[in-house]
Amino acid sequence: MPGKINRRTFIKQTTAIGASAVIGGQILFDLFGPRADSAFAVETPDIVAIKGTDYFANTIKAVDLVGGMGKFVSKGSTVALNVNAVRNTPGTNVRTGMVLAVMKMCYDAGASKIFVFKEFPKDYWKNIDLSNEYKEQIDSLTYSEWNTRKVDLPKGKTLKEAHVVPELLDCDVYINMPIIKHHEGTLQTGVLKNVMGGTAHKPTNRLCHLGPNYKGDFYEDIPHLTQCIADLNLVRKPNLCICDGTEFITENGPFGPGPLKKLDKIVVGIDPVATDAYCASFLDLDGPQLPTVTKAAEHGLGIGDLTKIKISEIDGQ
Amino acid sequence: MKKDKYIVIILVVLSVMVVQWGCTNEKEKAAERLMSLLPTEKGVPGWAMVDSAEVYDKEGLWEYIDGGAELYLKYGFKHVITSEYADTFDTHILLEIFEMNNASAAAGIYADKADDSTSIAGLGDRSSIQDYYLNFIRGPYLVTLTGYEENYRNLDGLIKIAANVDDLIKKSL
Repeated sequence: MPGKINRRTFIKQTTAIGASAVIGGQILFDLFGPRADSAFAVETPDIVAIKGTDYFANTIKAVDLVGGMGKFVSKGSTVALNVNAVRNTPGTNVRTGMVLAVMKMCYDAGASKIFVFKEFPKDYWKNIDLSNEYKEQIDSLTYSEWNTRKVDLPKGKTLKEAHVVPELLDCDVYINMPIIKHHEGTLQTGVLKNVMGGTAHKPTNRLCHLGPNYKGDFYEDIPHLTQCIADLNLVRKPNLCICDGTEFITENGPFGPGPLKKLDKIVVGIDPVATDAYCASFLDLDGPQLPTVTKAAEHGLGIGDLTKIKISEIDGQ
Repeated sequence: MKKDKYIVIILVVLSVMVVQWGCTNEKEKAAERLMSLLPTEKGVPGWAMVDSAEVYDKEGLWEYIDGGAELYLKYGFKHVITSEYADTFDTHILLEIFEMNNASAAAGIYADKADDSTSIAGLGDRSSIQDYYLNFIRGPYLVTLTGYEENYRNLDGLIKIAANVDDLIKKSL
């Protein structure tokens, strides 16, 4: 495979051409649109991590750098967003600006409908002035009614079937949007864990948490839980992963309240396993060794070894 | 034989109805008990309840904190009441009063969620305040207050609301 480079080399290369890549890339983008990269054979990274406080602009920039939303969403397609935003507690919700940016990009790319699995918390859209500008799009979101569909998982090691929201299977494009934060059981919630929290019905969710031999101890069977999460990800791989690493709880997860860590990073990736492995460093965890990562990698859902992944770390706005 | 079968079915239906009635009744009683622990504007001047209070039992806890319920259930959870308060500057604080099985259950969950490194003298049996949130326990109750901002008004509200809830709990015990 020509141009195959490891993480370290890639970062070195992108740093070396940093200024020209960012400025030049923007010029190419302005001139030729999101496909400018392919026209000029710029290698698309697997993961883009962008740092800055303009979460709306940075989300758009990061998605553009992995190919642009047009690479995933075509005219008339339906999109489902699995957004981890169910409570107002600081550091537990995906930023409103990120969700608005994704909605804008999807509609700009021609999406006919956007499904959201879970209702947003009260006042979620009030967090940002841009909400007025995108009121029409916000109002157009279709929320899942949480009907259930049974899916057989013949390749599942622990879960042989799952009950999930139908929109996960029916949509043309599935975008997973977790916030990276602490979790008492799995240590980190991210792309892989968000599938359980955001798409699985109660019986599946409970089976994952409690296990078949539950005796009343809290998270007594972490290997069971992490295997279930990996198995559940067999239902459907996301087309795109957009992670909030801007500010998150480092204890008392997943709901907090807890101590906050602010990194102002947004991570966009194509590979759910690699994206989770990369983001684990935010919580000072060894990503490639996380049980959810290793088990999902065993299923062939992605690559946990970050040396085999092209990562672009850039400064945004 | 057929008659016996009908009697069994009727008994089963009746028992299910009795159990359901018992659960509803228990939840209603809990709601009444927990509502009396919520501060009024008179108790905390400048802060008013901006959302109707909601009560969840063991079953409902999964809905309320899907993915985080296990910790509470492990220590012995009975009910939680939640409500949101706001001041005139639109500073919002979420109040959650968890009713646990007993004082040791409350102490157990508290130890998992908080420490006493920044406690407030006289508040609860134990208390802990951090940048934007506060936890304390009193008897079988764990009280968690969460602000959405880190500023003086938020901290002031956390302490005032917590003190009032503590007084109300003390009176109820």
